[in-house]
Amino acid sequence: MNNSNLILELKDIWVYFDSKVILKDINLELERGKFLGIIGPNGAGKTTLLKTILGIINPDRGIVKLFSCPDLSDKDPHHLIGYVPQNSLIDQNFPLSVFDVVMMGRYGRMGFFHYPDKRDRELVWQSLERVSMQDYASRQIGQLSGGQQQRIFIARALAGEPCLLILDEPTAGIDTVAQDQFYKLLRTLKEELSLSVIMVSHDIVVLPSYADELACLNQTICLHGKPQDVVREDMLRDLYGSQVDMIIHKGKPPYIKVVDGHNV
Amino acid sequence: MFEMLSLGFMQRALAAGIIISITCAVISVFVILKRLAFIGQGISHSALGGVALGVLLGINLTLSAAFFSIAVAWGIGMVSRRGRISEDTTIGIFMTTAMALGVMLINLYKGYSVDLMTYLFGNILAVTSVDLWSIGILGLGVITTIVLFFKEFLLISFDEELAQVNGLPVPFLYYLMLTLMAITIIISIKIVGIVLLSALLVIPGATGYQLTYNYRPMLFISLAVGITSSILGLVLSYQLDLPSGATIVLLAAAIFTFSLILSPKRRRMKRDKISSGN
Repeated sequence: MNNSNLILELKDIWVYFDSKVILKDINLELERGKFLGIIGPNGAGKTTLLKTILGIINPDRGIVKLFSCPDLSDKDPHHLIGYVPQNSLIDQNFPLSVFDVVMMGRYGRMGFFHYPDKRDRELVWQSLERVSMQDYASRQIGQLSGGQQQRIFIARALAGEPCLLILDEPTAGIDTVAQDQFYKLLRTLKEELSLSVIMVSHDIVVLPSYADELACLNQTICLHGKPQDVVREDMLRDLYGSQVDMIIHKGKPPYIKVVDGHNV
Repeated sequence: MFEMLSLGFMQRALAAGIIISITCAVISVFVILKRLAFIGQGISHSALGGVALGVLLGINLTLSAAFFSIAVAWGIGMVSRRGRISEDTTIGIFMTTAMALGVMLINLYKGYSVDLMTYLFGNILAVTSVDLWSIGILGLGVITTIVLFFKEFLLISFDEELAQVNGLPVPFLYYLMLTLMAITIIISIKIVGIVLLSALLVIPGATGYQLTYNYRPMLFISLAVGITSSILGLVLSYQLDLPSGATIVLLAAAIFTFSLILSPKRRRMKRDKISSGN
């Protein structure tokens, strides 16, 4: 196996919570520059898996391997990852400007007892420009819409100069137009900055057309492959246990609709 | 007015009041942002146990109260961070247990000589020059530590998860914050008293929070409210023979009420309500 092209490797990950299995036997590899979408129903362990990759949760068994970027002298694994949290979790009244929030993405690299210098400020402006939010820098974070906040959190992640971007349900609570813009932005950033991306989502409608690979999670990785191979009716029925309607367009990414069993 | 300033005890009380109000105002910002108001009350009330222990053992009361309060702060932090028992339940139990212990110990001490009222409600006559020195050194220590860790404290208040992802020692920072709060509480007891102390940890920051959208002016307003209410409170308390702690807290509360009326956030909330009401 040629490992040099991997950015992330999960081997035999098990996580328990109060002796209840949350994740079992997770094996997953991600190559550099790829966009991996992780989908699965509620309670499948998606967030737990992300937190394990992020190092917030220590797995009860198994190892998480992060490989440093080749062009990076910095070997601290914490600096490899840019994390975009679910934006519903932030305190909307917190007295921080957009600029302050993005600057927080630099804190990890600054280290203790260091305050932002010219380079940090430049990187914050650059990151804001990449998500086209430089005009909002002095606004309070809570005054922005959900979609705009999402861009700010991406800018915050970019400010840390990561090579792996990890996003947790980024499209939750954002309208469809903003969602579309969001995916396009993500694709542009991924190509321009040669980022690897992991995104956890409920979304099995749009995500498959943007991701390079999909993994279905339900305690364990049920399926992992190209979106068109993964998103199949039988698989979704196994995973979601509800009636699934699917229309597959020729040559296009599949369009799927999950329907409540009672409505059929 | 000037005659008042020539009195030794009043000079000490004012100096102590200014140091205390600055320390409280700085930590108050994080009490509001990290939502530590109830923990603050828990730690300050628990100090009674520490004072009583000091009396019984015949050791320095500031020192015994400091150790006791830091232990209570860590205890509350440890139990609530485990997540098995909710934070408010933990504080409710720790606070009342420590106070009950304090009452019991004071009762046991036959040669009862401590003026309990000083510790409960504060007394401007009670600040000795030794007290002033310890207030000065500890206050400076607290402020310096906050300045050094300011950005980390801000980050764990806003987004603890990002702090963890960035590899910051989040539990260490959290316990450091609680320790600084416990020390602030201890140095404030003689002026403000155990019962009313948590007001100084909450009101200055809360006023700043009401009036601004950024933590920098919030800190500035917090300092202004803290310093104004404590100087004015001490002067009034001397002139009109009022209890110092209660005077300071009532003044701060009055300023806070005023800030509620002036708050741009209140206006925004009203506007949002109107625009969303259909």
